Amino acid sequence: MARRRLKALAAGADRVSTRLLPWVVAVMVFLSALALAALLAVHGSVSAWTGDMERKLTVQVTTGDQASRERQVSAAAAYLRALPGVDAVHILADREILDLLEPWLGAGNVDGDLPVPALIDVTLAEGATVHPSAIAARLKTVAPDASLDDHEQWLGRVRDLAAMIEGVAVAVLALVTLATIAIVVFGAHAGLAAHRATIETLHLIGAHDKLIAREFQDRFLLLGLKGGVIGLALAAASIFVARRIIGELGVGVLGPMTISMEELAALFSLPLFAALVTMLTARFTVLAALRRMV
Amino acid sequence: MILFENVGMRYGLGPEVLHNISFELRAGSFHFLTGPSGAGKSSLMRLLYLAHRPSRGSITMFGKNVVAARRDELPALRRRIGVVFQDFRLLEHLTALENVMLPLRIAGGEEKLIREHAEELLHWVGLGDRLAARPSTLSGGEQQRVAIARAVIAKPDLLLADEPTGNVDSEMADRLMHLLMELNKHGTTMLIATHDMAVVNSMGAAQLHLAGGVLQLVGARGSGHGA
Repeated sequence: MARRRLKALAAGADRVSTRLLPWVVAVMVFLSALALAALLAVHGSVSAWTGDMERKLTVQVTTGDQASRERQVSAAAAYLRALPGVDAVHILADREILDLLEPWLGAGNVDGDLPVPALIDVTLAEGATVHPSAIAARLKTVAPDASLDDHEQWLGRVRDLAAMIEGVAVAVLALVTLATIAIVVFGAHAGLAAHRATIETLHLIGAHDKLIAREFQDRFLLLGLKGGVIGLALAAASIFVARRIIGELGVGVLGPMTISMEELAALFSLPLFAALVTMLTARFTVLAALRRMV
Repeated sequence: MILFENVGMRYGLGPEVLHNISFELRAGSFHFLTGPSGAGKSSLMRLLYLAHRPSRGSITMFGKNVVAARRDELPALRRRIGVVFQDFRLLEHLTALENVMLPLRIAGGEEKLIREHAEELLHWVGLGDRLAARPSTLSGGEQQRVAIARAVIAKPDLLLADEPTGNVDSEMADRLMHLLMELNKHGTTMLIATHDMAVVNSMGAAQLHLAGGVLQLVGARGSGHGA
């Protein structure tokens, strides 16, 4: 059977109580979208960093004796290449090492006299399990001035920072949802007051609570959807501008800031989520109010 | 069909406004509910159209103890009762036709059939040319007739009318009362609350008389009732 609609609520009767609701929902969705975009960006960047770094080991050979250094680098590289689970071993040329320093010291400030350690970049095979402490200990026997960095300390701090940022974003989303619910409860109560006579009449001529609540929830669903679409449009424009500015600044630390289909779906689900929250809040508010009638 | 036994009623924690009300309305009967203003007629009507629960006593309607009935059982009972409210309670933003269609839309049914039936009823009450009129553009008597059409469209078992002649001239009052009598002939049980004794006397139906919240007198000139 088709879903019945009475269309019994006067369109303009609750204008005062619901006029601003779409705009409030728009602001809420705007904030939620920004929080979600930030969360996804941080999550994406951290995943990219940690994904890269988790498969990397760096070996430094620090000795001023050039001949010993070259010998130790060769021995260390030979040892590392022979290890199971090692995909590639790359001995960085002096120029590559100086290029790494240039962003920190400034272009033209790096010359060949700078005492820098020799670096060996080790890439592990996908899914390989290695024991850095055992490798480091064995490495000392073939290259006494070598030290191994598995980046775990740095990765741990990055993960902590990312978890904190993600926690804040989730808290923002939760608070925005709660604020939306509070506002809709207020709006639904005001709407009930505006339609009091109509509701009483419908009730007395035999309308079920759910049928009356449906009149409200449909109205609030549309208001929520309208606000949600406006909020998402504003957020999309803001995110687009932010991406352009970050791209122009060349802030490589944030990564390429691409957006996956899943992330896009999450952003586009926000107006639907807002509309759903608005609709259900209105429904339960109205049902609770109706239960106070005989 | 309707049985009140020692019913008392109060609003909130206020004093009792109806005391020990006992009566029976048999199916197909026609009664007037009379009494001066403030006697409790509207309160008794509120009990009858299930807008209020009694504070004591027992009410049985259509074989169901409504005092013990769950809240979600009441809408189905209400749909068996047609009510002509004293202030009509027409929905201002709906047309006369849409107002009349409302009870059947609530009950569910095919929209086309509901519309046809509502149009037929409005013709029957003499408002065939005012289908699209909003209540605010109708006279008191016309609104009254729309309210009657709305009250009877679902073919209720019981029709309650609160001062149905209160807002109309004597000629219209006469026409409305004959309209209600005609419905009664089709089997609808009627209870008409009024303080217009001229109307009561002219119809010769039985009456329940309320004074000070007490059912004092039960006239027995009509058919099928008891006290």
